[in-house]
Amino acid sequence: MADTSTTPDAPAPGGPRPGRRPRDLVPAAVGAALAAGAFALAAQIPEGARLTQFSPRWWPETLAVLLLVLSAWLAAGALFRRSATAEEDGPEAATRQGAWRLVAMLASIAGYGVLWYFVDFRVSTAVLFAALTWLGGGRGWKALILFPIAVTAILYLLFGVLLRVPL
Amino acid sequence: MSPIVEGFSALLDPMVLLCIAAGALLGMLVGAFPGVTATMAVALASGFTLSLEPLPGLAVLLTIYVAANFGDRVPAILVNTPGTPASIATTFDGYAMARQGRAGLALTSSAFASAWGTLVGVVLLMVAAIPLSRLALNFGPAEMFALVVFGLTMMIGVSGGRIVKGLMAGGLGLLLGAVGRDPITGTPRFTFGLPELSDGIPFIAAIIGLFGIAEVMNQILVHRRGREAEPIKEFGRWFPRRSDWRTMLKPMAIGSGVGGVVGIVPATGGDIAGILGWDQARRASKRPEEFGKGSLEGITAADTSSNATLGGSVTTTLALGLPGDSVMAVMIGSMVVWGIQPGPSLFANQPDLVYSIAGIMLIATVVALVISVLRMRGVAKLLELPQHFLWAVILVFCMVGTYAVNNSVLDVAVMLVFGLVGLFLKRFGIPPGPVVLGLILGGLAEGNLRRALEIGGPENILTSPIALGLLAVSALALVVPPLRTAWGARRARARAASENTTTPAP
Repeated sequence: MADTSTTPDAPAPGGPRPGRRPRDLVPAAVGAALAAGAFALAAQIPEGARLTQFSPRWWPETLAVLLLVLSAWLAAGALFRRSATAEEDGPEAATRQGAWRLVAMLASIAGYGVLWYFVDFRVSTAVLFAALTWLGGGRGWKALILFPIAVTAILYLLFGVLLRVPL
Repeated sequence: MSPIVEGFSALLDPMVLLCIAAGALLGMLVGAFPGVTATMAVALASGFTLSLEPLPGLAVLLTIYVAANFGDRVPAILVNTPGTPASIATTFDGYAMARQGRAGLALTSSAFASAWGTLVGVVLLMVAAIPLSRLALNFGPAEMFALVVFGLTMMIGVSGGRIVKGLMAGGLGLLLGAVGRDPITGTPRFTFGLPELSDGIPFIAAIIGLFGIAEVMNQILVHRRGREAEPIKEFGRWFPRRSDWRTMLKPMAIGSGVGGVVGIVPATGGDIAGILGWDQARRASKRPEEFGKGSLEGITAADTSSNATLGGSVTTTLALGLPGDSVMAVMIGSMVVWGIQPGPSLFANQPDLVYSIAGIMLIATVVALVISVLRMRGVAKLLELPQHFLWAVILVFCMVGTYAVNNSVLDVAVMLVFGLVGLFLKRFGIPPGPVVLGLILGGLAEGNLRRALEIGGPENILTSPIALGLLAVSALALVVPPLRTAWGARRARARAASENTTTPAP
């Protein structure tokens, strides 16, 4: 199970740890976009017979406006704040290798979705376990053969046999 | 038959006892792994417990909740890394004790303190839950809406200097809660023609994504090899002596009081209580200078206080329908799927349930204590397990567990999307708790607000003393923390300026 990878886990250039200002401006922008989208979609909700004082649009539209106001408030705070305060710790910096590993793992999961459609659950899941372990840095027959088979067997016993989930 | 007898006798079912044993083992394991929180474990377990009957399912989830609050002390003491946020204060003195060669004593005294704290919380649950729910039964739509706002703002208020982001998260959660049928007219909203969305976003999938997948994704993203801390292997003496017990009595009493009060407040959990309990014990101690340097009093107070919140959190959750902490927010999701609607009417309809839940927590505490005392050394060995095994197991169990809830691939897709949303929230400092709370309580908030306004307009809310009181406390919870931070910063600046003016130039 020795780890054979030699690539250093250096922080990726280009700011893998969002700085204080982008950490507020990006969520503010995303929040504003979400609010605008939600408002537009809420306007398409059928009004119905209006048996009550409030239409089904009222609550989502109110929330969309609230989200928009909060996004503007967050952005204004980020732009006009005099100095950074220590009240909020930044997240741990991401590594370039970590980002690649994450993308590769997500791709493996997508591939698993396709494989499961054609191949038996036990085989496809053992393959996924082996792929995820390899991408995580596991090496050797114990990590790549014994571990996937053992955990797949436990998973199948629990869900497939005991809980009778159609896998 | 009395509800007490009925509630406790329901636990004699061998299936329930088996589920408690399984939950205790699982809880100890997840607690012992730093990075796997009790919230994440309960979210993960929700996937397979939904196939069980409600009581065995609750036995698994509640026991994980209790046992994780024992197991998380192991990495806090041996590697100075809290297994879950609830053991942050354990590190203050636990790791120092371990470095002094007293790891064994730290582990066992922590286990006894945690067990005592949990028992105090369970007694609180048995005493307070039914009266509290009877009080809340008198609540109308205005009070219920104010109660939901109160729960949501308490969770945002404790998000540590992130009030605006917390509010945005709460707003997003409420907006996501609007997906599905309108609670009054039944009109479909944001369903995009998908019948699966007419009951709303599948929240078990959303919760597993936000708390399970997002956490693993973040760990993968930031992982650096060779940075794992080496656990301490010299344990020294294990069992407390009579003099140690005497030292532990006072901090256990302080921790019980602090934890009990903090637990009742919605959305506040063991992390806050542990730190507050530790601080109060330090103030009351004859040897405050030893706190933070390996004080037995310190670790005892922190762990008692942290675990004394468990009963209070369950009380608030079941009696008011407001999650006592983030684990309870997740658990509400499972309960709703089982047909158990937490809230004031729960105990009026099923008074025996409170005693069944208290009984599960009592047995779970005893089992977790026995495992802690007898098998700590074995649990400590887990700290040497490489991360990649854990990642693979969590990712695949999350996917299969989510699929198992409704045998739906759409649920798995929702879970993965929420995993990415959770990762975004984490990287940009937005607390995920209010999103979940908004998602779960959105329908309740909207339905009650609209009913209150239909019945008597805004006056209906403004003339209710309970609603006004709850809304006032909610406003204070949002306003006071930033004001205190600003006031503290101002005082620090003033102190620094006065020091600069009084320091003579060299």
